[in-house]
Amino acid sequence: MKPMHLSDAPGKVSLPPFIEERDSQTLLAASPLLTVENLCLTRGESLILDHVSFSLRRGATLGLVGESGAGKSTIALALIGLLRPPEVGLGGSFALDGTGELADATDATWLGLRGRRVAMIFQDAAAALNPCFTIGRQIMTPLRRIMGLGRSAARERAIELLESVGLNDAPARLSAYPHQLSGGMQQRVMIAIALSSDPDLLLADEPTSALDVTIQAQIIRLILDETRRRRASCIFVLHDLALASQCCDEIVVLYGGQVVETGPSRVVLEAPMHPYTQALKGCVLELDTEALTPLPSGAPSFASKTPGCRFADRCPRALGKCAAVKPPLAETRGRKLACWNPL
Amino acid sequence: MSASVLFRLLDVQKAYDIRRATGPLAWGATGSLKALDGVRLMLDAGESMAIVGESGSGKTTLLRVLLGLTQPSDGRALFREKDIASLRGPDRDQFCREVAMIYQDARGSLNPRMRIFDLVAEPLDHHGLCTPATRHDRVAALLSRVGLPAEMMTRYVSALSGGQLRRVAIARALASEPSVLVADEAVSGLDVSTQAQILTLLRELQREMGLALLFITHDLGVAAYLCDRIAVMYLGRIVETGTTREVLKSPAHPYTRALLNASPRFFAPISDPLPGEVPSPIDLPPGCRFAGRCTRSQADCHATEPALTPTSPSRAFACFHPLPTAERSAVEPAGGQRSASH
Repeated sequence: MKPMHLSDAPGKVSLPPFIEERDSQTLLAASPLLTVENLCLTRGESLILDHVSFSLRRGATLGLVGESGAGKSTIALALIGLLRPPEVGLGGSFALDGTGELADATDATWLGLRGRRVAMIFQDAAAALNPCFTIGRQIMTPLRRIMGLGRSAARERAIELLESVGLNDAPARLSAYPHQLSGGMQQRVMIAIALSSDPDLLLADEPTSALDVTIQAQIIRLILDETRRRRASCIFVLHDLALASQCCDEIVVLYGGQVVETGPSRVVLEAPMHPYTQALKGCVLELDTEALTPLPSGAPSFASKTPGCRFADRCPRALGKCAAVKPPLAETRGRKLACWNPL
Repeated sequence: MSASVLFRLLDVQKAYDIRRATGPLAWGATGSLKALDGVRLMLDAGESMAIVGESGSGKTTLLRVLLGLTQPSDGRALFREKDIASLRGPDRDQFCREVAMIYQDARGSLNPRMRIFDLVAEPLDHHGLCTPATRHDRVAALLSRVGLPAEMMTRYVSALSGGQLRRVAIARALASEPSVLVADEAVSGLDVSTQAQILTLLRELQREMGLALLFITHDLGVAAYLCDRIAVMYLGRIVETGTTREVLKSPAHPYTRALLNASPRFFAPISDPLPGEVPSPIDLPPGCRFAGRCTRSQADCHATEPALTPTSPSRAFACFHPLPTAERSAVEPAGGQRSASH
């Protein structure tokens, strides 16, 4: 049973200041939609994801943050079943509310889930849209195949969707090819395609990193508005902590495929306890930043077989045991933290 | 005129004639794309200036004019009071030595078939800045200046990470002992941690070597961190300019305000985004270019184009209805929240 349909709330709804509204709504819907437990992903000898655990409530937004190579996109691809054995090795478990275990799900199971329950917005809309087909064809395909609509119903719904993501002159846009649209418009089309089959979980992999700042604000706002309206959940993959603090309820900080700190974004980002979270925060430029405190270079290597914390060799607070014993992810002051020597 | 002025742009205009097909019989119809329109700019020795704007604002065309790669269709672009595009002979050599460029795509700007040593030594050889005996030491000194170990010299571009390549590009730019560094989005596309390292390096270099810096970016945070002055561009025109501190603290032009609102800040609610996108620069309607997206636009905005008017020696903006001073200084609620949290 879908909680709300697009046509129930046509046009733009003016929303009260969004943080308050979101908080009240997440309180109403606190059942977990997604649970990920000890997810491990291996590629050859390398351990790309190392016992990643988190859960996501219905209606909440979660941000996966970290440097490149932290495994953010890998998690997103695994959650939509695009990284599966035999290409990679999967261990642990993850499941959506109402589905069985998905770590070893079959092709048939995924075909039933992709689009219907989980949809993805990719980073590079220009590359994700097929240049050979019109926008209309690309948005109507899931409507017809997944939602089972007829040709004219699909067309109507496509126009409705394109209008809801702020594309003006939608009927004419149906026959446009991706290259005829600007980057922001392409990203809107991809959001419309992702939303077309009313998924419960939307995965947005750096949806705005190729866009201008004013367009970035529009797109983030659009994703938040649309997911909230459908009471869907959203996972953002981001590298900008400031942006993450603005659009995510929960945050998962990843380093080298390990979760180092996770919890409500206010708690984690206002007073980070893991030295890595603190260091990432120190790299964010704000308008009044006087001096940056860059991390020493040396991105984590997946080949490293260090038994301990992967951040230890860059960490200013590392102790002797950090490199030897992996710290457990334990509940500390309103968050979960994996560190032997927290701030 | 002061001898310390490096770049001076006097009402530079660059229009491209374009042919387009708007219908079956419209082949050959021409239009004009004004990539730059009446740009005035001055860069003194040792000064740092940020050019900020979204895509389509003419930043790259401005850069090409500054480097003498594009001849302005109107107005003059001067380097040390000489017309850039008509520099010849020794003047041209001196220009090439004094103006160093850091490109956006570091990997694409470095020859993959050359070792790092040869890449950094190339400008030294070209400008005759070292003897065969000192060549190795100069390259080693340059690499250590940008924080790269000497063993990098024998590597190829493909073996280096994105951050390391930016450092090589900076070393190469510094090799010709320039007086001004021109950087085009030199830190975009990097991880925040790498970006922080490169920005710290650039600021250090600029302060220690007294380099002038012209930094093209879309990120106001980067502009605020590196540059004393800022010029905000929109569709080929400078809409607001002044000291970075002043402009970002109390923007007068609604576009500057919108850019500020759109930049992510910790725990600030996402502000109402600016509607629409940057319109096409082909055959623009009369009036202010920003009027169509502006919340403060009135009838006169659509009729005549506001000129860039100085309000103080260091400040100018092009707007008929600038944000009132009271509203400008009223920092967004988030600003207060954030400083409270620190």
